Amino acid sequence: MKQLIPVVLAAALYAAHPLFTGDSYLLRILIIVHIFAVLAASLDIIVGYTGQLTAGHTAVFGWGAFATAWLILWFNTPPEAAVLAGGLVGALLGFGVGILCLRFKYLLLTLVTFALLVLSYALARQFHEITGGELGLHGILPISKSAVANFYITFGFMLVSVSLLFLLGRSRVGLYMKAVKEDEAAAETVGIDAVKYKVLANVVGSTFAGLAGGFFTTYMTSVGASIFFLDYLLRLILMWGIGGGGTIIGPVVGAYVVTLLAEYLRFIEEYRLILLGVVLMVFIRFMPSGIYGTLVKLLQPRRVFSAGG
Amino acid sequence: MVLPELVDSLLLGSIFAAAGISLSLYYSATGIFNFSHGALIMLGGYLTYSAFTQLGLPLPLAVLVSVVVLGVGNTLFYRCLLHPIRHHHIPSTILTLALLLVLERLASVIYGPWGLPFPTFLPGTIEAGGIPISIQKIGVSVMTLSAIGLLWVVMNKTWTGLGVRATIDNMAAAASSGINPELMMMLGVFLSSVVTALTGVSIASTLFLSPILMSQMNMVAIAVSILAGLGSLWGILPSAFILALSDVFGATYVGGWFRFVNLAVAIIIVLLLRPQGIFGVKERVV
Repeated sequence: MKQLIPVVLAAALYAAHPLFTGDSYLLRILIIVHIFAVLAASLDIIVGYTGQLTAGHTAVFGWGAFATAWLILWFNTPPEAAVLAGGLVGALLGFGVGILCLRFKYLLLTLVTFALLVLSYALARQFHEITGGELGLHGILPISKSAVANFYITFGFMLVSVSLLFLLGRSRVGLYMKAVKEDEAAAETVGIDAVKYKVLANVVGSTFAGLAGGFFTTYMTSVGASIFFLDYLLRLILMWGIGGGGTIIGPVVGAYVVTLLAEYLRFIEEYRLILLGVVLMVFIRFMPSGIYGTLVKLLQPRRVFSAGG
Repeated sequence: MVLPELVDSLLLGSIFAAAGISLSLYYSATGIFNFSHGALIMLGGYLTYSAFTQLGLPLPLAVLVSVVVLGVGNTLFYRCLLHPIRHHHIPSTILTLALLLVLERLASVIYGPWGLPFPTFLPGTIEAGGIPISIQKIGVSVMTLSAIGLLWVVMNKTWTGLGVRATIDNMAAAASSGINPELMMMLGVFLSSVVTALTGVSIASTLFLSPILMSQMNMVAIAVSILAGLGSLWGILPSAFILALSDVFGATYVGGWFRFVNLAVAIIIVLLLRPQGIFGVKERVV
């Protein structure tokens, strides 16, 4: 428990900082970080735990965002309820994609979900009467207009979602999922229902992706077909890979690192994404457990030596 | 009048075929699906453009420069980064996605985000059945198809090609009969990169150069190789022409939006109904 004290202190300091500093520029970045942290952590349940490399996660995110936007714009739903509905849409899509993906393994799954993402973009572009096309829908009612309030709302969203995902990952269910990832056939011989856990991972991950989409669209007050651009997916993968997949916390760390770096490296313009791409390659190849995994390894007491002393 | 569309689809089909066959060869030789393939194709075009217009080399030499740079670069990338993790599909796929990101950004930093016209090197048109066809387009199609033909000769009529194919079929058996599988994989990557660079040249000189085309060519290559059956090299030609025909006729008679959904829907339907591809010669699904 002792190691947790600095973590809690740092979290409290982080949570309190908007009250003392009035840096609304930083707040705006951190709000986006919170939303993407949930998206990256929810991707981890699908990719890092059950080994289904989905390319359709940002498609679910996008449709969650559109569902929220439509409810607010056309049915005058309060934004809070509309965001929850975004999560519901995410869950339904996750169920559908999860069932569809049972037919596919490894590469084929990635290809099908990739095609779904491209199809989502094509549909959103084609039916621009309801999606606003490339220009998008505007004037979506935000949950709150104040940056500080949005900071706390999204911070709470991130804390709750990441804790839930983390607990799920640590639970028996999470272990079963990891077993399915390591060796599906072996997992089934010891009585783990691989089908159930693969679909479950998709539903849980997509629910949070849909919620994140809802928060994203109410915060930005707009959403367009560009949400299905490959850019979002690549950014998400940067966060997942650099932070370290399979740990839930790793992708959250990645979301902070990637977004803050991209923001503070604005002076090198386009080169920052090239730089981040190269960093991702180096991490995937030489440090596959990412920043978080490597830190955990370094900080762990070396049992071999302490056992003797 | 269907003749103009027919001619268009023939020209487009040769590009589709070249894009698909190099992706398919890369996948067969290494077991890695290269999501940066579209970007590599365009890189081939950009390199030729630079050597041709900025360095002032004659066109054949410029193409050669592009082929050598892309071939060596891509083979080195494969050997150093991808080869050691080729059995882990998640990291290797993510690495190719990272390469896609890097190449796409590099292209737009160096050459700008807009379309770049490639200079005309074969001016003039010829009349065929009452419609004018530019000589450049014909020349490029002939070049692309002969590159595919050359690949066929190398793969089927030489000892080296036999080695690559043996490694693809059964790596352990190939290794035990004295073939160096690692070398053969790198050779497969190199051959695929050569065709990739040539595809880039043909796209650049018939359409234009732009970073946006990178992701579109990605979809084209993926759709063609899946319709042919992943890892099947010779189903590529018919499936490329089927997709090119549906692309051109769909865009003309259904509407421009057809182009966007065509490839994505083709991928999903083929994988759902017939994952081994329409020509399903042999099942080699991952």
